[in-house]
Amino acid sequence: MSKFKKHKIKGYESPKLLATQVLEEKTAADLDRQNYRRAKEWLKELCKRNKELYQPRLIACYQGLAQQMLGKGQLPEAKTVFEQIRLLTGRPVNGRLEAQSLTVADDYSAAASVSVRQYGEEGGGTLTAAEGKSLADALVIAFEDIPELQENHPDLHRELLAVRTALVHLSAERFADAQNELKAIGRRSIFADWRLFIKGLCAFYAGDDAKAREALQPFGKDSLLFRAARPFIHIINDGATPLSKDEVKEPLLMDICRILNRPELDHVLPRAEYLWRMGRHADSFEHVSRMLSDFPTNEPGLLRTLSRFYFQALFHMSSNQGDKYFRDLHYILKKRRNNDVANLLYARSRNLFFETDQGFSDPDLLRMWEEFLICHQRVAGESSRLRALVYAHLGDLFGNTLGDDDACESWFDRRRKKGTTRNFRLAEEAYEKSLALYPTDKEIHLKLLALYEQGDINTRRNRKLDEISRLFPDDKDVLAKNGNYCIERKAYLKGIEYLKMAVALDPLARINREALGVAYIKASLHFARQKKSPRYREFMKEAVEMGEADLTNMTLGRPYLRVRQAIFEWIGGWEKEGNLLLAEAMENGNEDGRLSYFAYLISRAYEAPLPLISQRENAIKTIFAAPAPAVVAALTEVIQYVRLIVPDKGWLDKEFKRLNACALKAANQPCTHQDAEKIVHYAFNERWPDRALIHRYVKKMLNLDPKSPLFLYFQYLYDKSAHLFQRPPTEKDLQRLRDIQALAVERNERLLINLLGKEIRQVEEFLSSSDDDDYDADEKDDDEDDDEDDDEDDDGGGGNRKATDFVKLAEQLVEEMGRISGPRGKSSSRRKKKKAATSQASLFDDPDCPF
Amino acid sequence: MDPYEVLGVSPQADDDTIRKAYLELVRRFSPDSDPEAFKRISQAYELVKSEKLRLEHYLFNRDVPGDTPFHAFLQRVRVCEKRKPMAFEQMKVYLRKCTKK
Repeated sequence: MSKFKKHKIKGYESPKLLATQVLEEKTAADLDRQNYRRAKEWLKELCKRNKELYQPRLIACYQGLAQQMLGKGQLPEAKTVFEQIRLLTGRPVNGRLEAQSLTVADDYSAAASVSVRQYGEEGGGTLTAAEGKSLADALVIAFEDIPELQENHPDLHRELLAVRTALVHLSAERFADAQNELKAIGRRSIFADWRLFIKGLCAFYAGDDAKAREALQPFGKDSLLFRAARPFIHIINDGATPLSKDEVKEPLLMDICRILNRPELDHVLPRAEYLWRMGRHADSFEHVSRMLSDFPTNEPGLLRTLSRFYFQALFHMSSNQGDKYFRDLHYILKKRRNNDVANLLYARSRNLFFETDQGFSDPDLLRMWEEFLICHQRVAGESSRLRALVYAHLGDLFGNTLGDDDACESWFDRRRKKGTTRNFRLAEEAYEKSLALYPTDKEIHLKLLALYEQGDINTRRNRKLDEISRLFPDDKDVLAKNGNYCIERKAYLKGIEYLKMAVALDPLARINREALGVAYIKASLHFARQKKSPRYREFMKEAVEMGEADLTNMTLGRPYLRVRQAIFEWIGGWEKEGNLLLAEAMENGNEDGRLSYFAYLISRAYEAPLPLISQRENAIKTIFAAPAPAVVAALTEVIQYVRLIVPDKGWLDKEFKRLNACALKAANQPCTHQDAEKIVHYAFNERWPDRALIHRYVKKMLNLDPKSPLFLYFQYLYDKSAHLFQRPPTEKDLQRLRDIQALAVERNERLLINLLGKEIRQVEEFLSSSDDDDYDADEKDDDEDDDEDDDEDDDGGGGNRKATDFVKLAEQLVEEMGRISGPRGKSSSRRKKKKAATSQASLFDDPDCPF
Repeated sequence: MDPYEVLGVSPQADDDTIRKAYLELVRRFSPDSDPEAFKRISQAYELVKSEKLRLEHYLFNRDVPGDTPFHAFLQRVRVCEKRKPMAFEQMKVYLRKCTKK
């Protein structure tokens, strides 16, 4: 900097005007900050005042400055400083600086020779650790023999040779030989770091990442080996190495391309990465496609991975980002004509991206997929199988049921109504086109059948079922479908035959066994009402034979089947036989009164003769007189099952009230954790949850065990249900859930941990989306201050969306809560019970057919 | 991850080739020796074991191989490619380059 410029700088202080003490202070401060340029100015002035005292410090300052310049690769500037040092000392600069300058000038062997000479002059063995490391670096990267070293320092020469040979072995993938060579290098040798580095590389290339990380991490910052090891560590850490604030990432990425033997990418990927991270997604794509002529491609290899990345990234972007990226891609591809592969990949991504978009009409979507088929034909030729799959996909898309707009309605109405099909005509056409191209795809036939069932089009459904039966006579799914359909049409004999065949083909398929069980029961009830005793006796005999011994499954459990059998005898007019069978059934497994209660409820559900109902009612009076929580828990299971069979009956609602009162009475008695869990779960599952019952049992169990995660969670649900539609979840709720989860982790309650984890994520998402909405609204306010009406509309929309989201969340919450009843932790039989209960629900989910 | 790359087969490979590659990999990476690799291989096989599944994967899969282009590259290298050291001359150039900041 010229003197003129210096004086122009604001606040510049001329050294001449400053006192010696001030100059000394300034010098010390600048040297501390390694600001050698300014320090030398103060020292020059100090030298003028006392040469003897300050000249050595000035020389040291110049040396520091030269070293700094060499570090930055500023060789000509460093040489000027060398000249200043020579003028001051009357001799050339020291060997280390000279070696450094030679390295910067890429004269590695001269640098090594100078380093050896310097080492010799200093008498050897007196090096500091840093000096030793820089000598080792200079010797290794020379990659040449240095005669002075061999003559004067044979030990160092031997170790240097070992390092070099180990590197040769490493490059040739002879890792064991490389490691053997390293044995010649001691831990205290100046080559110890090189030994560690080569060991790390051997582990890296052998795939032992943990060992490689351990070996490659300890090098000091700013050392050659630190820089050399960094890309390897970056790969091991899967790209998650922290960079310093002002560090440019591109050189590191270039190094990674090189060490992974992909030098052709070192000018492509780093830039593409930078553009991508800057949010310039389409520019990143354009850069790659400009630099790599074969990109995009469908051929196997790295370019295919990149092609997949660029054409599928939009599925993981926010809708705004995705829209923008999609438009930009469209523009770029339009410019580059005749790239069929790119157009094909683009068309596919576009279709998948926009098919969930409400803004596209169904014919538009159909046209877009047909365009894709044309592109595909151009690139890969005609494929009827692919075409069939595309049409099947369109069938699925158009055959979707439209969601219920009123979330509150579905919240109260557990038995959801059949939804309306999105576009029945197009769905049917698409499936038919698919089947015309590939007639033996059973799955598509079944999907078309389901579409007809959904649309209640019985004639087409029957025709399709007949066709499927003809095409796949021995398929268990088709047989089961046929069987269930026959049972629905009250063609019991035929239905049972089909279902028997399906069960015979796969005896382990529980769903078909249950379907057959239901078929036997329905048929028996039907024939009992017609007083055809041989028929129903035969069916029930077969059902009992197929049934299960335990009391878990109320459809297939033998005790329950026997109770049913007894009731059918009553209905069929055979009271004596009925009573005998009932007495026999009660002998086995009625300790907690569940069979008595089952018999009572089922006889009412089947509209059995009144004397039987009165007899059963008398039998259960004793149970209700002095209830124990264990008994109440069993009865809740029975009544919930019966609700699946007869959903809307006044007498059943009264029965629920009676059971709730009984459960409240039983709450004074000792209760096990599991029984309380069943009762609380039952109470939550009611149409109108009995809050008093929930509160009583949750409080009772928390008094016994204040840290029970399950009951704390029930308490949380209870508290939330108090203001379900007024208050969305808050940060406090989130914290509360996290605390409960921590307790569940302590007790290793895995299912509860998972459930809470899921709920915590939902609440977090809800909270963050509320933040986003606020942010969006704020942003909009800023952008569109002039248009107040629009802003108000936006706010209203956001609020409604929030409310809908919350109601959905609340719905999911109660559904999820249902899942934790039963199988918590250890016993697999409890899991089976839950599974059985779920499948029972699905089979009886037919309001037209009480039995 | 791309199931073809995990299994080391071409997307044009037939059922038999894919099954052979799968069995070979499962023999090398058993659930005991490398459970993560075994899981990855099994998942990949389940996606492409039949022609219908392969076409469905081709048509409808939405997976992205990484968060950024470079991450996709690293993921591919990690899963599909054997790490191969640089040639000695390249190594020399690389180490010398590392002398400069």
